[in-house]
Amino acid sequence: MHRWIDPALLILVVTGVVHVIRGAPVDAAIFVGVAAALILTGLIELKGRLGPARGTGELPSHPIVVLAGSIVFGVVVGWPRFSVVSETVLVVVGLVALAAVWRQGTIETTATTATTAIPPVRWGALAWVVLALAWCGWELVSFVHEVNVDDVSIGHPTLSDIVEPLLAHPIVRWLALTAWIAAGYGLVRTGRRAAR
Amino acid sequence: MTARDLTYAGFASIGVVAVALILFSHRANSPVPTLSALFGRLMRKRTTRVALVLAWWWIGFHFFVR
Repeated sequence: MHRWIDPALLILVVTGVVHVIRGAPVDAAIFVGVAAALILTGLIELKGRLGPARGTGELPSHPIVVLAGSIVFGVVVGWPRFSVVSETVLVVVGLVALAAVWRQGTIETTATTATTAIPPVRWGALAWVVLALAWCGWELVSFVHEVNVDDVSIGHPTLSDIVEPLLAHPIVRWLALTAWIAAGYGLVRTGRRAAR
Repeated sequence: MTARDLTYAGFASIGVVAVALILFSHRANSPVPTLSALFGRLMRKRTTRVALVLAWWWIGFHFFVR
């Protein structure tokens, strides 16, 4: 398979197509745009025009600091729902998070590293794959059934239909935002460590 | 059981299995890798790293902004 045609890129493009089908052109543009930018980055990198990777430093990981920061973020950003402030903050957070994991390249697996530094992916990892596919499949089934009925209360609600009423409660919204930002911080930190 | 109940049961089952997998993966000598180990392995590639971070961000944007 070509160097840049990998499963992650295919998933990004397929996700973009799904967003077109569900009538969300902005979401589609985001996913397809990121896929295009990744391909462009790979092309630039191939021509040697990309400078040395930056930003591989370790991020703070003290649990108290991360928890306190996440709680403050959750309460402050989640205070008013659907405000210009929260929308702007989430867009900025997304751009910063993507930038934080973008510049590092791909760690090529060599025979040496494969046997020493990198633990092999065990067959047990398939359990996570099956779970992810089950989640996506069930969401897809719910979405397909939902669009066939006028009243979602009698049909198959999607996860969005189930979660959105819960997020109307401030405390639930603050807790969810706190968990979301903490998970994202952990994901970015894991990504930066993996790329070193 | 209504169609709505069935949908709830499906999502709840997936949630229960997810929690069970998290707990099972943290047992000593578990054949199932922890999510941290799995992501650490997958995120060695830029495309996967960016795709996972984008997926995380989109979930937040979808639920908290839209």
